[in-house]
Amino acid sequence: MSEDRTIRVDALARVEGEGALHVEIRDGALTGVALEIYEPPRFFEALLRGRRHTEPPDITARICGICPVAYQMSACEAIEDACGVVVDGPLRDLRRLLYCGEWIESHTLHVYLLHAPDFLGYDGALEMAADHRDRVAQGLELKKVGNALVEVVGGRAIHPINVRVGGFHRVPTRRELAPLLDDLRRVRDIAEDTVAWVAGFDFPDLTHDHELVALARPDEYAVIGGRIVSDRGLDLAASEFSGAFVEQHVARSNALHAFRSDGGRYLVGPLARFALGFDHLLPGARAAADAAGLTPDERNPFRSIVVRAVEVLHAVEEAIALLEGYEEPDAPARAVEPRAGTGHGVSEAPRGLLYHRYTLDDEGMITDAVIVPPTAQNQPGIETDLARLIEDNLDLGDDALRHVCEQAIRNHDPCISCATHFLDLTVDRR
Amino acid sequence: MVAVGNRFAGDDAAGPLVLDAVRDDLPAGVVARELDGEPARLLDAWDGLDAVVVVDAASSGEPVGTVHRLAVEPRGPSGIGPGPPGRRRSSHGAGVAEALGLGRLLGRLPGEVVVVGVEGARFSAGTTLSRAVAAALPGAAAVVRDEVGRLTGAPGRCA
Repeated sequence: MSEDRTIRVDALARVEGEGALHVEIRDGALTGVALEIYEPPRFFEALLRGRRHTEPPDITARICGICPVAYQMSACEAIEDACGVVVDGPLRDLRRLLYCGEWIESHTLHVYLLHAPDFLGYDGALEMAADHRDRVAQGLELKKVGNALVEVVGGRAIHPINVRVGGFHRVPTRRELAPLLDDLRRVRDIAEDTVAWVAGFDFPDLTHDHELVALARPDEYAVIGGRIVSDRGLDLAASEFSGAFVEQHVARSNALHAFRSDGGRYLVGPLARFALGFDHLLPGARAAADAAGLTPDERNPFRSIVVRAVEVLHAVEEAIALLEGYEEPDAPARAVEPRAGTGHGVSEAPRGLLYHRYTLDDEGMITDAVIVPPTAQNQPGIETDLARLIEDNLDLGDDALRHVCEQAIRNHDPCISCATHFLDLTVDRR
Repeated sequence: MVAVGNRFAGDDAAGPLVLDAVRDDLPAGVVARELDGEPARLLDAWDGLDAVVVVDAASSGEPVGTVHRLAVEPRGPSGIGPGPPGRRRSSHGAGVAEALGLGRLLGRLPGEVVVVGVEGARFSAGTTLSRAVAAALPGAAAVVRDEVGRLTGAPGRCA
């Protein structure tokens, strides 16, 4: 007897993508798992051609409503690399501050409103809020500070407009930033408490064996720029990305899947950053991770929710430090004169490594653009996680199986999570 | 007034386009914001306000171009649920219904909440509206003007 189970993810309004999870079961055995994702960044690669070198930060910010800063930062890094300009000092600090805001708001949204309900047995944040009102309220309080950081530094809460190649259009004054410092100090305890709260959840058993890939810098938990390293000895400059990773078109999907050049799967995102950047966590985040029992050897994807909470605390601490030391840069931006060449930019989006590459002609027109988002890189790993889980849970009913699949997909907070919450499990029994 | 939507996602632009149509008619003291529908931002946007009119694209199964008007009870049960099962639980897909539900549970809704919805059909990338949605925008704008006028007691400027 054969049994087909199809988990379909339909397209939604106001979302950046669509996707489907197809699970094939034959004679009681799992014979296939295919996660299909539609990826908007591919459109952007094409429409960036013929644009000026100054335009990618504003154009690529539109790829995602949740992590526009990541797109802006990788874009700026790549264009500046092509033009031989390094943005450092106070301007780089301001970029990190903006990025802290995005990490806080994105991770907190995911932890409190999306992933925690999975662990506590609720259908969603609304149902959870009915029983855990104060928890949800504190999560929103924490997230609000991230929103405020993005709004003040980025100039707008959604798709920030203050970022430009070379720096910013306008830099905030100390006076404008002062209320943010008070807010961050106030929510630091919430961030700490969040780690302890999620560390107490029950975690399904699952161990992944994906190669972990993240940025590394000698002096900080890397977010903008740095070397691309892995737990298996990879150590590359951003310009070497294309030699080490390949994107393959998968016939059943209009998305590209990324692999190591030897065909191996790899994983980017919080678990990878944590494993590779553990030594650079700020003291409060390090202590909270220790108390939660997290080590760099953590390989259970379900514990990613704890790592996200640790990263929120780290970002709060980092933002406090950056604000305490803030001095207005002399100029809001460095001049970036175009020249012919290719530039590479990397940064750590909340979901993982985000790579941009642009080729410019001598007038600064973009002749080629490549954007490799974290979700494309994680897709093969997510499928593998799902296959293992489904094999271990074939006896579950459809609802329970859908729940565990959703929870496992959310472990990686894919940028198609816009769609993966819509797992419409239909079973065709023959 | 809060307009929710993405100007680059087909009929999802309805909310922002209604805002464009009424912006110059809004009485003094009315704050207008354009948001993407992420619930926490919506809760922050109407924090401390007396009343809010939310305008958004809708997908309820009614004929395309239908203009919905829905008064939301700020406390207790109301007709608004969290939306169809599964149409949430995502950093990219949650929306007004979830924000209203959370706001009610957390005591974070203004005293009066009116949602004006424009039934859409296509929400894919692009700036082209369905014909029926484009035709419905003036009517939706009129409903928003009426509501803002009623809530502010300034019908002369908004009628």
